[in-house]
Amino acid sequence: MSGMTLTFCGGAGTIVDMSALLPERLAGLTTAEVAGLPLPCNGGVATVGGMFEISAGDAAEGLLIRPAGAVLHRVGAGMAAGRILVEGDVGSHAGAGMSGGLLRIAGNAGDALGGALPGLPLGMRGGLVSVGGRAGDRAAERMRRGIIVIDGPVGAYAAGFMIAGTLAAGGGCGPHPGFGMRRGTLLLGRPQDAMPIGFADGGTRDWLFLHLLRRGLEGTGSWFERAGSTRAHRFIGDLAEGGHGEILAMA
Amino acid sequence: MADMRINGVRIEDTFAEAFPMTYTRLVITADTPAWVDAATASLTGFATSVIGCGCEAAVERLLTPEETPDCRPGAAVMIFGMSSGDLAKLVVNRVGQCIMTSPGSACYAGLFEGTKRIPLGGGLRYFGDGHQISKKFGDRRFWRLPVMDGEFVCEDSVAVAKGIGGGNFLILAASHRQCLAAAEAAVAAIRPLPGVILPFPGGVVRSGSKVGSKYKALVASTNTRFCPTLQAVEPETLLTPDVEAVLELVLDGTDEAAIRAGMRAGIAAAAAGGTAAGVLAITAGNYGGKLGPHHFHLREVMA
Repeated sequence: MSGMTLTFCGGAGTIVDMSALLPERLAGLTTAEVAGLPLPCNGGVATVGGMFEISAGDAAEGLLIRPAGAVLHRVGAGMAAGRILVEGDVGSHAGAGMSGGLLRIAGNAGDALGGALPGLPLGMRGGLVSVGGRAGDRAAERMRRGIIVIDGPVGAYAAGFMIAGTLAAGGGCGPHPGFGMRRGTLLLGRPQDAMPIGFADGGTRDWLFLHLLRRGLEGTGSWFERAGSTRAHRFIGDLAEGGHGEILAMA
Repeated sequence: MADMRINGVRIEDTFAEAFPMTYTRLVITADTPAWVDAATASLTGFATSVIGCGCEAAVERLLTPEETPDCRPGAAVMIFGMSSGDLAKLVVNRVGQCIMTSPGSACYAGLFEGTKRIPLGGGLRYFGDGHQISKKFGDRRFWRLPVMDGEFVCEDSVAVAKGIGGGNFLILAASHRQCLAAAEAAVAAIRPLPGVILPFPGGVVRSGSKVGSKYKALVASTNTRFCPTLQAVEPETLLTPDVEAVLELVLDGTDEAAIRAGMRAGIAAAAAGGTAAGVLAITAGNYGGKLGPHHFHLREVMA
């Protein structure tokens, strides 16, 4: 990926709030200007240059982040456009409140992936998030639009209170999937052992729209792009919320 | 201009007169090519002339599964109307009655750049009675409507753009059979071309019309100057006694280049057998230049 590269060079375990480092905000800035930006870190404030080694390049072309041993929270949170590629793991709230662009995480993601930032009513509102590993709890919470695709499993309360959009987890999910779900799709790469609580059995069939999802994921190399089938078991809910959402478990 | 002949077939020194239209393109898919054919035959039915049908429509070309959004067999259909407002009503009605009803079918936009967008699934979604589902992948929004064989998947909207309707040429032949054979050859030559359709049955018109009638209620009537059976009584006949039949091909296209390419391919195919095949002349229909701004002079097209 051409563009700007940020390689973490601080101490292992350092906690950093990355929400200020978005491609659209860094676009056009020089390396020195980016280095001087303040960055919340370990309860205080540091500068980007103090935490990261910055390569020359324009973030408008993309932002490559190498976390090393840092715990990077809120990577891509609020992103509206552009591309972020993370070569490693990220902390919580990655892609939270995102409204556009591409966030690609090669490793694992923490809790609240694509969810809502604290105090805000909506989660992700657009764009594409791709995770090569697993994700934590409450992925896609209050998600409104967009696609999140995770090659591994997700934790508890996946797609909780989802309003719309698509969360596709190749490795299945933890307990309470779709809790409070209104609409939207939680696609699971493996059959569900039991009927999700609050959901009704909608039967098994081939779903034509999954071809469209697959086309939408072209180039991500994600598990669903590689999946050959569109046959899935559908569960409709969360009926306790009067929801019309769906959990699709690949048959 | 000097006389022009192709294989002995006279190319008349005249022009086809065409006019601006608005068009859109849909991609229809189904489980098998046979069901694509069933759906598109219904969608493009009763859509030969904008005057009597409100729109003109036909299959532009068949699509392989690799070319369609849902990896199934499909077809690109072009629909022409007089305005985007007309098309908005006609297209959503036709898709609702002819595609949504057809087993296994789906409907997608085939045109993304244009003057505006008109609704497809966005106008049909309420048929889902609250169970419709919207999915947005990238920049494209789709609707999933629950129907008795599963789900009808339909793109939210499609673009409309400015096109051209009424490109045409007429084949004058020594017998009906020979005229029909030449017309069939012309249709076969035009159909593979992109951006152009032949909206009439089999791509051919046998009842060309003129403006006006002796009956006040009619705005158009049979084109007496090209009716072989009226040669003896029509003082303005454009036929010679050796002409026994005339057939017309009407072309709608995305732009002048598409119409011109279609006419050129069609005329060349019709005249390929020459006078030996009974084709005597190729001419075109116009209204003296008063109807439309697009004039396709046959000899320029075939030069």
